[in-house]
Amino acid sequence: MYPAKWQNRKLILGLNNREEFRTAPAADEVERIVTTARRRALYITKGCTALSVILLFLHGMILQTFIWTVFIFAAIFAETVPFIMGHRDLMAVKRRLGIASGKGISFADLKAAGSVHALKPGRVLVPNLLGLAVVVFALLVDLGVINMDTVTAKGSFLGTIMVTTYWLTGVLITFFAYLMGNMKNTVISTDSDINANYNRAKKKNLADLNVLFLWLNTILIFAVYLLFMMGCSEMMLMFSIGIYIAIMMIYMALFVRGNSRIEARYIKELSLVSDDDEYWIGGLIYYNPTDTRAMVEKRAGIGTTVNYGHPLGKVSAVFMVLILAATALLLIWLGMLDVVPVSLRLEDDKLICHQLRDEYVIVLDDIVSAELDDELSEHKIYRTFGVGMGNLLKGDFTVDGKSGCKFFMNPAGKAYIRIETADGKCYYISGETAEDTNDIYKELERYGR
Amino acid sequence: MIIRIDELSDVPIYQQIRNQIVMGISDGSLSPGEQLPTVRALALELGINIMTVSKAYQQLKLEGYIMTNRKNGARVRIEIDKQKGISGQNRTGLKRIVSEARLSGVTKSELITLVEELYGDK
Repeated sequence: MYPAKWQNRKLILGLNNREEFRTAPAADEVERIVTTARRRALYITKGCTALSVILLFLHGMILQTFIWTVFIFAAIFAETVPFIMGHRDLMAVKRRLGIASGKGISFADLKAAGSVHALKPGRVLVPNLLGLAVVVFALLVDLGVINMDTVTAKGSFLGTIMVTTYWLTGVLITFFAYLMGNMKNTVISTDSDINANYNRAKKKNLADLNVLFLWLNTILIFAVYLLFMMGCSEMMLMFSIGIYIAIMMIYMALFVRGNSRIEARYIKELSLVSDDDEYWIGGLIYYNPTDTRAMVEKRAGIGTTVNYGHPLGKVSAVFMVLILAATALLLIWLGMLDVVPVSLRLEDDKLICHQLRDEYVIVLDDIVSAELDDELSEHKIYRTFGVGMGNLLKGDFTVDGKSGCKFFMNPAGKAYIRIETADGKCYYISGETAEDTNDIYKELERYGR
Repeated sequence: MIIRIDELSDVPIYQQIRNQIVMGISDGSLSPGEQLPTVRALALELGINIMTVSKAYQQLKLEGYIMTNRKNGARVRIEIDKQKGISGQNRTGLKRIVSEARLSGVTKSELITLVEELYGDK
């Protein structure tokens, strides 16, 4: 986003680099604008890094989730501020130099149009098929078609859900790789061979990295399921998150390095500038209602962005707003789950577990056995569906290989009651404190359960 | 060959495409038998509607500059019919250019030199 050697880049701060920028008298001013933006971005990065270290010392999962979510959104926005300011200053320079707007003018190279492709279907098919094989294997294990004694949580479909999620991520990567491979070619020269080579190099860079990303994702699917079979749930999660972050960083570094080399190589050949600067708001948001393309190449960062002037772009903007609103609601809901305690009460020969809008009702006559225990950590527990927080376990869980166990408890309260009912259901319940749980257990004993 | 489209021009976009392809064939930028991009590919490159490109190709086909078929897409005709004449529309356009040149003080010889340059004689 903030290139050190802007002279070698096709785009600077979201604006087309041009001969007028690279020569006197504008060169010094452009240099100053780019340097200022870089310096500001560096200060913001340092500030965000320092703040993130401080945030690591926050206590409380919900507080951490809330602060981190707000912080991440704020940091992303803050990092773009110097870019937007630099873009504005550079636009002013462009106007001062009297460079006419190229609004409405577009170029196409008849030789390169539709003929430059770098992504071969076979390269993305193999990793996707291998990933699918793991998904099918996990499904067959869960269905009991394949008997694997090492998988303790079989039947819970937890392993299938996890590998399917990773596999679907791979499918999504394939979809975006295809979109990127079919992006509009950029016309940089009147020489068709130069245009074709430039676009081929750029698309190959993207395709290679997408294929690499896809293979790493497939390896991750194998590794995650292997760890799952070994029963390492926490380790599995940490491992997968760590690997994913590492993959993302390698992906970004390789792409940026490759792209910089291509730009530096072809900047000498730049003789034709398709100037659509006017359609880029702040150099980041593309809004061009006359352009029929829904996706265009980004001017800052990797891959493609949406044309917000296109009907699909407008729909995606609505989705983004909805996602932001949903994130805010999710945080509020998580906060309420954290604050509102679970409660147990006996009412009309029924044991009622209640929190917020959730209620489990156990008919006392249906109870076959009820045991008071305080050693939850001795069991191997996997969450299948529901909430898993430090002070709340609620939903469907797998305990020591038995799937479909209903949890409604505060694990921090230590004591819990394990109830089995006549219809074969198993409940793990507790009140907010050990005292509340003990009181209910005594009531159950008095009832003869 | 590079096609330049001006969306703000009075000339319709399909006409701009048609004109530039004709000029490309005339000056040799597009050689006889050369493959042209598909309608979809060219529309994507220019960010315009597929129907606009299709209309330009249809006109070029009707005028005998290109040939199209389902299997091979569009190609520049190897033999373009030599009608040995200027169409009525072009004659009107030429008349307008000559009139404007005369009013601007361009001499007949200067105009002929320019035509010869564009024709490729000089």
